Amino acid sequence: MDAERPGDALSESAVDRELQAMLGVEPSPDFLARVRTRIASEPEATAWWLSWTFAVGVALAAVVVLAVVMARPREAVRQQPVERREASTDIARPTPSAAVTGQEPYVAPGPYAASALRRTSSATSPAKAGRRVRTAHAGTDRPIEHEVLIDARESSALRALIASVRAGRVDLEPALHASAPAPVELPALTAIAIAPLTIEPLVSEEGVRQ
Amino acid sequence: MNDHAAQLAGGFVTVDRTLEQEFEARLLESSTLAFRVAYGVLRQRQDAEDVAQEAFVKAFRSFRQLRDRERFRAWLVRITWRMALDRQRGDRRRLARDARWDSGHGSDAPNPRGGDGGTQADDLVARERAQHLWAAIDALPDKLRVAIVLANIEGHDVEEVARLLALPVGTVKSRLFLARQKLKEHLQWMQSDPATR
Repeated sequence: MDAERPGDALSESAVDRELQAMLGVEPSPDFLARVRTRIASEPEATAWWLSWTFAVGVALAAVVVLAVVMARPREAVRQQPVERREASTDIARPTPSAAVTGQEPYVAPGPYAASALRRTSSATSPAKAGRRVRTAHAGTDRPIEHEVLIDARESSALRALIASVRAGRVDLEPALHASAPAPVELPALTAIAIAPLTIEPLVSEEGVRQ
Repeated sequence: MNDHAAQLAGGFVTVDRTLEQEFEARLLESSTLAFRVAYGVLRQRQDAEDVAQEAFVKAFRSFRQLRDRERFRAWLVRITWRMALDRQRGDRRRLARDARWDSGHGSDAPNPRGGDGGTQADDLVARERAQHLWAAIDALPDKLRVAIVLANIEGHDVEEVARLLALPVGTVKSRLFLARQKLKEHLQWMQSDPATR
C-alpha cells in the first residue's frame, strides 16, 4: 500500500496494481442485451450470403448461355470449306447474266421468300457442293439449298432458252456472230442563223392611265 | 428437385443456428474483454460500451471467418482498440469530459485504492493519482499502450497478450518493459513537479 502513495517509490507491481484497478470496470448489466438487440437488427448473415451466392450463380449461368449463343455462328463459319468462301466472294456480285454465263448465282444469306431458281437436283459439282452450308439457326448438319434472287419469269425464259439451244431448236450462232448494224448517216451540220435582238423603245401616251 | 432444395435450405438453417450459438458463446466470454479494451482508451463507460457493441456487430458480420476462438478474441481486441482510438480522436466532446474530470465529477473509474471508507483527502489523492496514471498511459505510443492495457485486464499473462496481438512473446515482453518504464518515469515526473498537481 505504501508504494501507491504519491511520494513513495514506484514499483512496477504497484503500477500494475493500479492499472488493474483502474481497468477493472464492469460493463453495465444491460450491455449484453443491447449488443444482442443491435445484432438482431442486422441483416441476416445467411440471407446476405445466400443472396450473393444466388446472384453469382445467375450471373455465371447468363455468361455461359451468352457464350454459347455467341460461339455457335462463328463455329458454323469456321466449318465452311475454304473454297466455298472463295466462291462466295466471287458470286457475291450478282449480275443479270450470271445464269447465262454459267457462273454461280448470288446466294442469299437468309431464307428469303423470293420466287427463285431452286435447285432440286443433288448434283455433285463443286459449285453445288459448296452451296451446302450450315446455318446457325438450323442447328443440324442438314444441307440447306438457298434460293436465288432472280426473277421467276427471267429464270424460266433463260431455262427455256438453254433447253432449246441444247435440243437444237434454237441456233444462237447468227446472234453471236451478227455484225453490228451500220451507223446511221447523219445530216451535215449547218450554222444556225440567229437574228439580232432589237429592243423597241416604249411608246407612252400622255394622259392615258394604265 | 424440391426435396433437394428443402434439404439444402434445411442445411443452411442448421448451419445458421450453429453459427448463432457459436457467436453467442463468443459474446458471453468476450464482452467484458472488448468493453475493457475500449475503456482503456476512452475511460468512459458509455462510450466504451458503444464501441464494444459496434465491434461485436462487425465481428458478427465476419463471423464465418472468425469461428476459431483464439482468432475471434484477437480480432475483437484489435478492432475494438482501433475503433476506440478513432472515437477518441474524433470525439470533440472529450474536452468537456476532461473538464468534468478535473472538477472531480463524471469519472467512471473506480477508486484505485478501493472503497475502504478512506477520508476525503485520501480520495482526492487517489483520484489525482489515477488521473496522472491515465495521462501517463495516454502519453504512451500506441504499441506500448495496447500491450500494457491488455496485460492488466482479465488477468492476461504475456503469452495471452502475445496471442491477442499476434506478436512473438519476446516482443510483448519488451514492449511491456518499456511501457512500465515510461509509466514510472511519467508518474515520478508528475509527482515531483508541483505545477502538474
